[in-house]
Amino acid sequence: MSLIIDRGRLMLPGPTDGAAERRVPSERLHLIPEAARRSFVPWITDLPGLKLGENDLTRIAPGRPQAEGEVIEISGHVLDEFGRPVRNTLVEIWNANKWGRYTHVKDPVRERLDPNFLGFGRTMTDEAGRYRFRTIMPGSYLARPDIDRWRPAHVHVSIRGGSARLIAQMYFAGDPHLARDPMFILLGEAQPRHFGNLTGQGPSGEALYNWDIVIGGRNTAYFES
Amino acid sequence: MSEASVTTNRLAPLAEDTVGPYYPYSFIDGDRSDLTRLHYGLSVGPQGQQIILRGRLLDSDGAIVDDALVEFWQANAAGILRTPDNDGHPLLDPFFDGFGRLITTTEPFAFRTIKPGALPAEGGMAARAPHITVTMFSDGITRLVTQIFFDDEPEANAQDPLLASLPGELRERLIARRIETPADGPAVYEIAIVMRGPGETPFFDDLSS
Ligand SMILES: [Fe+2]
Repeated sequence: MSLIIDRGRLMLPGPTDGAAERRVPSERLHLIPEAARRSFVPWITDLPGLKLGENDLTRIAPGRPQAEGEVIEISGHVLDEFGRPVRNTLVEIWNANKWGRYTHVKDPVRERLDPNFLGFGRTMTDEAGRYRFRTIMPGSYLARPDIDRWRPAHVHVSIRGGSARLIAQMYFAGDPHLARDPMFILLGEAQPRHFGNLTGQGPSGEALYNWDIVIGGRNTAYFES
Repeated sequence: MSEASVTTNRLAPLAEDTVGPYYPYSFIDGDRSDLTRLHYGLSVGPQGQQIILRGRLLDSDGAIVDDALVEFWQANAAGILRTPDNDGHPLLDPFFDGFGRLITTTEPFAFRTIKPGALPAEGGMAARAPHITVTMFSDGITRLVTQIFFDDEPEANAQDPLLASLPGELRERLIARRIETPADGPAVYEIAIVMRGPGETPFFDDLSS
């Protein structure tokens, strides 16, 4: 019997997240023996073909009316821990509309829908690992009405392609709801990396945010040479 | 030179975060819950025995977790993973890449695929029993990863280094059971993946190991 077991991370439920209390394993994660490690890293080659304008969430399709709210642009690089670009990889984002409502059918109907806003988009990184989105500044939303817990404005991101795989959230510095958001609090010293950096204004007055997405750990174990 | 004087130029990665409850369903385009389907207009498909992995993702109340994003990764019938180090391998199956995904509903999920072969020993890596790597994202968790084995592979399972690293009662929780099905259909294997609580499935730390 191995002497080294049960030494992986212990995952922590957010302090007020009802789903986490029922879903986060109570046991520590198990370490993967060296001899078994290779097969844990999926290599994702089949990615969807993208339509024109899928990285512009401010319109449902090119030529359609613009959604309500403040237009923002989010751009940056997807990188591994050594600063190497993660190329030709799918970046998906989704965020609530100006009033804090998702178009997802499971979002309880509290706030207005915007007929011109779907709230999700995707793009592929280029040869330098760059990505760019235009979206609407998301509203805060009441995630737990029972305990009056609001989520600060945030944009969800998913990275998928090759061995890269990451789900993360981008936040906006100064949001008053950050201090009470369990997900943000759990980030600890990593919090600053999860802020989009306001770098200026675009030609139509839109706020420009730079956000580099660094993928760590085993998720870049295979890397193109 | 003291350790403290050594600097690193590595970038600090982002923290993995929950996918939340509202991952857009429409991002699941293209049906990747069935890796056996024939390609459009072709009468040829992947080699191997067709199977269905039927699973229930359960929370600590024993309730099925819906709206979870579940991703699958496996070798082809010859035990070859489609990774860059296997580029050009003669046993790669041109009709099988081994990556599947689906979003769970309130019913058990069904992942239709071909039964993976055992991975051969190579490059210091042990042989592996046939298995499917399962990654789960949902509201409340960041990411959970485990591997599912097959109960009709007792000899290979007994030699598998991942199963061997676990105490016996935990090993059993990773083994899918073949159930009775008509002989002319795909073999069906069932597994319960318990995220928390009694009977909790062992999950693996693929970041720090
Ligand atoms: Fe959200």
